[in-house]
Amino acid sequence: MLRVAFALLFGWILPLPAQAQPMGEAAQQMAARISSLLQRRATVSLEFQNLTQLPPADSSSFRSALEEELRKAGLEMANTAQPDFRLRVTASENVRGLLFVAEAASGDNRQVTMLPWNLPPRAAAKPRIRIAMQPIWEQAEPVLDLLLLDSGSTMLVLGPAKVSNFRMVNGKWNPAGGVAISMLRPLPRDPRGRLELSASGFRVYLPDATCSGVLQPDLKLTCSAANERWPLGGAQVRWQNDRNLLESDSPRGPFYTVAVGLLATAEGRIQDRNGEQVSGADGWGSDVVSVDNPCGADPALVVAKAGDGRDHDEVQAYEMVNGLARAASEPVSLPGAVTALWPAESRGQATLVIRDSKTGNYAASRLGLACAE
Amino acid sequence: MRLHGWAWLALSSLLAFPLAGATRPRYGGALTVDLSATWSTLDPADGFPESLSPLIAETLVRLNAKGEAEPLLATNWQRDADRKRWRFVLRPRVFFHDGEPLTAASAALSLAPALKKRYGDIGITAGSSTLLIQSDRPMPDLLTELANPRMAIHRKSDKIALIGTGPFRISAWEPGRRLTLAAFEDYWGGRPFLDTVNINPGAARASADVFDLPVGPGRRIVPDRTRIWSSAPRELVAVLVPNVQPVVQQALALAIDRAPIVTVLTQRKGEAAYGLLPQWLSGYLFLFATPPDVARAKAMMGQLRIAPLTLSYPANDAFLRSVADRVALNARDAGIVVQPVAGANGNLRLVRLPLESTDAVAELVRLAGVLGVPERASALNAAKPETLYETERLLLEEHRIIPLLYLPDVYGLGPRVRNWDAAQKNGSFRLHLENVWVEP
Repeated sequence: MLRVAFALLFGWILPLPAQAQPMGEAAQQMAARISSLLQRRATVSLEFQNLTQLPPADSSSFRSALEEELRKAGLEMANTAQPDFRLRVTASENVRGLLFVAEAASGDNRQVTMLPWNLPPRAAAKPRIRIAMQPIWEQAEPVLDLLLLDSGSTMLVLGPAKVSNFRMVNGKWNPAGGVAISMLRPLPRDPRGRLELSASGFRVYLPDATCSGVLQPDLKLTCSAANERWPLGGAQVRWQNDRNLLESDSPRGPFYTVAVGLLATAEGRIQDRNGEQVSGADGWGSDVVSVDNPCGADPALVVAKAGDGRDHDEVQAYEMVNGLARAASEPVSLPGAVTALWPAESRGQATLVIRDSKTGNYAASRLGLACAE
Repeated sequence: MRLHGWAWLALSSLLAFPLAGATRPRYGGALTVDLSATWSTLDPADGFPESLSPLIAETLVRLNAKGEAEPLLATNWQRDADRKRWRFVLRPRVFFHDGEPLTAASAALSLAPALKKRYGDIGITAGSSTLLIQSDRPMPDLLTELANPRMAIHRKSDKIALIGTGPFRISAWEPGRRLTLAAFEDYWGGRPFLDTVNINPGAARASADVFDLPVGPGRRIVPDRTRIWSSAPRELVAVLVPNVQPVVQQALALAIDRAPIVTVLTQRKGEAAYGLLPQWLSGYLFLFATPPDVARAKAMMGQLRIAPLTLSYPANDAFLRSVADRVALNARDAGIVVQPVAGANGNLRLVRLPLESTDAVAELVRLAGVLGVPERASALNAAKPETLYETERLLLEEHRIIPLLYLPDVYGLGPRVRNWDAAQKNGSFRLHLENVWVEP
C-alpha cells in the first residue's frame, strides 16, 4: 500500500502561484502596448537588451515572440538605416518583479511604455542521481512537519499555530479543515515541531506543547503545556522549553536531531552514542534522517548540508561503514534553506521542508532513495 | 455607522523565519556592534536611528522587500473606498518589555502624536482589540506611514527611555556612548537567538562583531576574516539646484563625470545615479542614463556670463567634500566656476537623500516634497510604472536636482556572525539582529 502511495506522490504537481504569467503572453501584451504607440505599417528596427537574470534562452524566446507579435500587429520589422521608429525593448526588474520597458524613438520624439510581469518560479534543480525528491505542498507559512494518511489521500500539515487537513481530489489537495494550536508561550524563532501517527489518530510535539488529535468524525486537537517524549532515531526525545533543541535521557542533549544513534549536537558536532565525533561527517548540518536503503542492508542517512550559495542548502545520502560516514550519492542542490528534515510514516521516505529563497514559501517534499542504474 | 465596501487588505499574520545554511541557529552569546553614527536619544521620532529602533519598538505594519505592507503588531486591516477610515486588528498576546499587555488604548496613545503631526486633524478610536483611524481627508499612504519607525508603538517611564514590544529590551543606555540590549524572553515572535547586543555609537574601530563601513575617506582597516556585506543602494547623493538658471543646471549636469566618483571616491561601492529612484526600486533607471558631454556643456554655456557658484556640503561630511571637489573640477571644464564651501547656504547644495522604504511611490512622493513640488507626485500608481517614470522625468526636467550616485549601507562582519544575509532579507533598511546568532 505504501508503494502505491509513493507512486501516487510522483503524479502530484507542485501548484504554481496563481499570478505567474508565461513569457509568450508577456510578448503579446508588450507588442499590444508598443503598437498602440505607433502607426500601423510603420517600419521598426528592434534592439533588445536584458538587464535581468533571465536565462539567454528565455530572453531569446521572448524577443522572437515579440517580433512575431509586432508583425501580427501590422508593424514592419526592418533592418534599414532609416526606420520610422527605433524600438529599444529592455527586460528589466524592480522590487516587484520583471519589468519590460519599450522606448520608441523617432527623431527627437521618444515614447515609453512599460509592462510589469510576474515570472513563474523556476523549478527546483533536479537531482542528478539517486535521491528521489517529490514536491508535495507549498505554502507561505512555515511547514514544521507533514503526515500522509489513507494511502496518500489525506494530508496533515503542521504549522507554527495550527494543524491543517487536506484531502486529495482529482490530483489536487483541497483544504478539509484546520484546528488552531493554543500556545502559552511563543514558539522559538527557529520553529520546529513533529507530527506522529498514534493508535487513535495523531500527536503533535512542539516546544512547550504536546497535543493529541483525531481526524474522525472531525479534526480535533487537545493540547497541554508539556514537553512529552516521542520516538526519533531510536531514542525517546523531547523538546527543550523555548528552544529549537531536543533532549533525552539517553543520549543526553541538547541536540538538534538523532538518527541511528548519531547526534547532531547543539555545538555543531556529529557524534555517536559514545560522544565520539563521527569521521567523514564534515560539513553536515543540523538535520539528519535515516531512510531505508534499497541498495544496502543498513539504512542510509540523508543529511542537510550548506550549499554553495548562502541561501541554498543541499541534501546528500551517506552510508555508515565501520563507523565512518561515506557519501553514497551526489549532493542534491535545493532552491532554499532546509527548515525541516524528519522521518516520514514509511521508513523508506523522509519529509524535507525548505524555504524557497526566491518565493519565500515553505515547500515540503518527500525524499526516497533508489539505486543508481 | 456601517462600513460599506471595506476590503480586506491583509488576512494573514505571516511570520518570516529566515534561516540559511544547514546548521540550525544557536541560542546565546553577545553581539557587539560598532557604528560611526552618534545619537543621544532613544525616541524613535526624534533621532534614534531608524535602522535600530525596530529592534526595540515595533510598528503596526512593516513594508516587505517589495514595498508591500505586511502585518506586524496589526494582524489585519480594512479600509473604506475613500481611504479615510482604516481599522486595524491588533495582534493578541503581545507584551511590552515591562510586562504590560499591548492594548488598543496603549497603541492609540502612542500613535496619536505622530499621526496628528503627519495628518493634522485625525481621529483615533480604541476598541477592545481594534484601532480605528479616520480623517476627513483620504490617507492613501497610511500603511507606508505606519510602517515608518517614527510610528513605533512605545511607552516611556522614569527609568526606561523606551519601552517597546520588540525582540530586544533596553538593558542599559549611556547617551551617546553605549546601548545594551537584552533578549526579550516573551517576544511574540519568539525570543531572539542572541542574549545581548552591545551597540557602541560613534565608534571608529573595526574590532566588533559587526561594524559599519561608511563609504569615502577614513575607511577603517578591517581585520582578516572580515566579511563585507552591502545593502542595495539606499542613499541618493545629489546636487540640489534651487536658484540657478536652467541652462546652467543642464550644462553642469552634462559636465559631471560620475564614473570617477564611483570608481575612485566610493571604491566601486556606489552606483552612478541619473534618476531619483535606484534601478532595483524603479526598474527603469537606464532610461535616464546620459553620458557626460563636456563639449556640449561648454557650448551651452557659450557666451553666458555668470557669477561663480558656491556648492555647499555638510561641514562634517568628508565624503561629500571630496564629491564637491570633483564636481567643481568637472564644472570648470565646462566653463562654470563652482566653489565648494562647507555649510548649507550655497547656490548649489550637495546632499544625501536616504531612502526610507521599499515603496517606490512613497519615495517619489517624499523626493517631490524635498524638491518643493509635492503636487507633481499626486497621481502615482505602483501598478503602473509609467506613472512613476513620467513623474520622475518631469521632476528631473524641472532642473531642481542633479542626481550623482547611489550609496549602499556597508557592514563588516566578524567570523562569529551567522545568518546575517538571510536575516537582513526580512524587510529593508533595518538591522534584523533578532535572527542573527553567533558562534561560541
